[in-house]
Amino acid sequence: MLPQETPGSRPLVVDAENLGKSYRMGEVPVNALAGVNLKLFQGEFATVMGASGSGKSTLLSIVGCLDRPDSGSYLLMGKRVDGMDDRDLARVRNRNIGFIFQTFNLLPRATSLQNVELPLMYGGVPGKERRQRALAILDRVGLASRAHHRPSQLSGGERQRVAIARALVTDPSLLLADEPTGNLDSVTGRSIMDLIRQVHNEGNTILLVTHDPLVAAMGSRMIRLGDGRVLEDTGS
Amino acid sequence: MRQGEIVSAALGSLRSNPVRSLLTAFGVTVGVMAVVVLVGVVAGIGGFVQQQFESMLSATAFSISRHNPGFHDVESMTRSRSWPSLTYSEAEALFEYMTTARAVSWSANASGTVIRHGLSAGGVQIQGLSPSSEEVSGSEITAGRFFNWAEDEACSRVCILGSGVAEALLLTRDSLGTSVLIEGHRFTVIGLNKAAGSVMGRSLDDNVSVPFSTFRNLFSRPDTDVRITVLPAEGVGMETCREEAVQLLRRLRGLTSEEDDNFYIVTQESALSSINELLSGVAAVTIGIAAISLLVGGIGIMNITLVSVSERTTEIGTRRALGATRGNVVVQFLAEAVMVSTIGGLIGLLLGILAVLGVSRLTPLPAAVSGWSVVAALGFSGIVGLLFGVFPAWKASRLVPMEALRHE
Repeated sequence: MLPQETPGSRPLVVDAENLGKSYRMGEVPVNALAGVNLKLFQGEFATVMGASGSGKSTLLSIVGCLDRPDSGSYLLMGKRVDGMDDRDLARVRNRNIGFIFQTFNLLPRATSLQNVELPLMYGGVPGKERRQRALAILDRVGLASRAHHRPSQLSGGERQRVAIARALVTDPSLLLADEPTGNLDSVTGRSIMDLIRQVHNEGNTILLVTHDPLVAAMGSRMIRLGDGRVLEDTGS
Repeated sequence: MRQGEIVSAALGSLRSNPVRSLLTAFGVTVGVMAVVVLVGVVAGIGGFVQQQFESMLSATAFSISRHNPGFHDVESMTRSRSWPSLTYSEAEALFEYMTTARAVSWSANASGTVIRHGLSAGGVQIQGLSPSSEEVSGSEITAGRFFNWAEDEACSRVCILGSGVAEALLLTRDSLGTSVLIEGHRFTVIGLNKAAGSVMGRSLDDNVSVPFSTFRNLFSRPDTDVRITVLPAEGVGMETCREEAVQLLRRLRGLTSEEDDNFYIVTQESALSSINELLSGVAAVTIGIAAISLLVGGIGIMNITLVSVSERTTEIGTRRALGATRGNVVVQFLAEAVMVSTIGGLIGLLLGILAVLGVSRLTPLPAAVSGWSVVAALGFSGIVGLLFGVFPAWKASRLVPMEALRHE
């Protein structure tokens, strides 16, 4: 099945309907998501805002195929992923999704190059090609000279650039960013947002979760969550 | 991921915490070292004792004795205490009447001091040997000769010195014909024995041999045991010859068909089998000790791998987000556990080999590293890593990726 076309003839990357997910916090069941609909078209840059407990992280983990919804359906690039087993979900995460984290989450003992190579390694890409692709992408984020440095030898901004390179190296269909500027000072944060915007301008689809209204305003579309529901969506 | 990548990733993460990795591996090191050393020493003792037995009693001969050389059977040892000693006349009767024997010899032992020109050798074993012993015994004469029947009949005071005694009295092959005092009696030295070495620290060369009749006159006490050794004639099987000796001795002792033998028949085979039984008991204890230390080592590995999993929860979450399957995570931690354990095993193997070399250099025991103990030690250390790594690795793989990512 091909990705669904829209009037603007852009394929649908995320097509989630009526997503439901609940957890048990001790004795109390918590409805983290209560019927969320989300459609993201290719090339869109959507930001998600909401108070803590609004369901942002749960949405991110389901859209990122780190978890499965209890109810509803989720198609990623036209493919149903809500019923996939663990192994297939791992493959989807590896090939279709790039993660950017608030705390960068680089492996501390590995160099920038090795960190960027990691997703390609799990994808079974041979060593030589892996290296070439990782070096090329490091160059793209302006860190070619830092390829053999460990995270402890890099500044916060440089670490996040390495993490963005790692997210981009598999050429994913969807980039997921979780508070990417949350651990950075405002100047560095702005340069990271500039990089993310540049990545968006190159045609990537981005879903970014943030607390910061200034950051949220940089997207082409803003979604506000509350109590596991979409309260506001400037794109639909 | 390829195998080389898995191994190098595991090594890399062990290198990041070398002291902890080494301490973790220590339990396995001790276990493997214990196996290599104990197996080496036990095998060394076994080989040595076997060699000594072979030199004392030829494979084709058997001896008749009141004592069972087996150490294991307390009941039979108690029972044999009430048995009559073998006597000189029984030995002579076997010598006289046996038709299937090539040689029948008899011997008895006492202990005493040998003196020459103010030099003395104490605690020497005085052996009374029948002239026929030359054919049966394993010891060899390097100088001079054995005594003959005439000397035995005449109770001649002639002797053959073991190399230990000869050395203590500063006697060489040129000293044949010289005289020594054995427990105060003057004897002429007519031969020297070849050095035989020692068994478990006891020298086999601190002895002096005299004709049996001479021994009986001078050194024998009422409770002295005679030991008879029989060498079957050529073309006669050991069984046939043994049966004749048993029947003859039963008749001499007037045993009825309901009564059991009141003497032991000892062959090289039976002596060795009881020694091997003892040694395999020691080996079983060794394996027990090794199993316990490997268990302790394994628990150490499991513990530290669990710590490592909880320290690296965020890393596990990140790897999962980047596309690692549960299997990838299991393999990663299992590889680390196996690696720690195998490295511990290798170190233990090295230390064990050094210890075995040390034992064989510094003690009379000819300890040797046996191939199978090396294979077993390394194999087991790998298996320990695998067994005790499975649970932490499984735990790591069951972490929910999103929760692992948010772990502080």
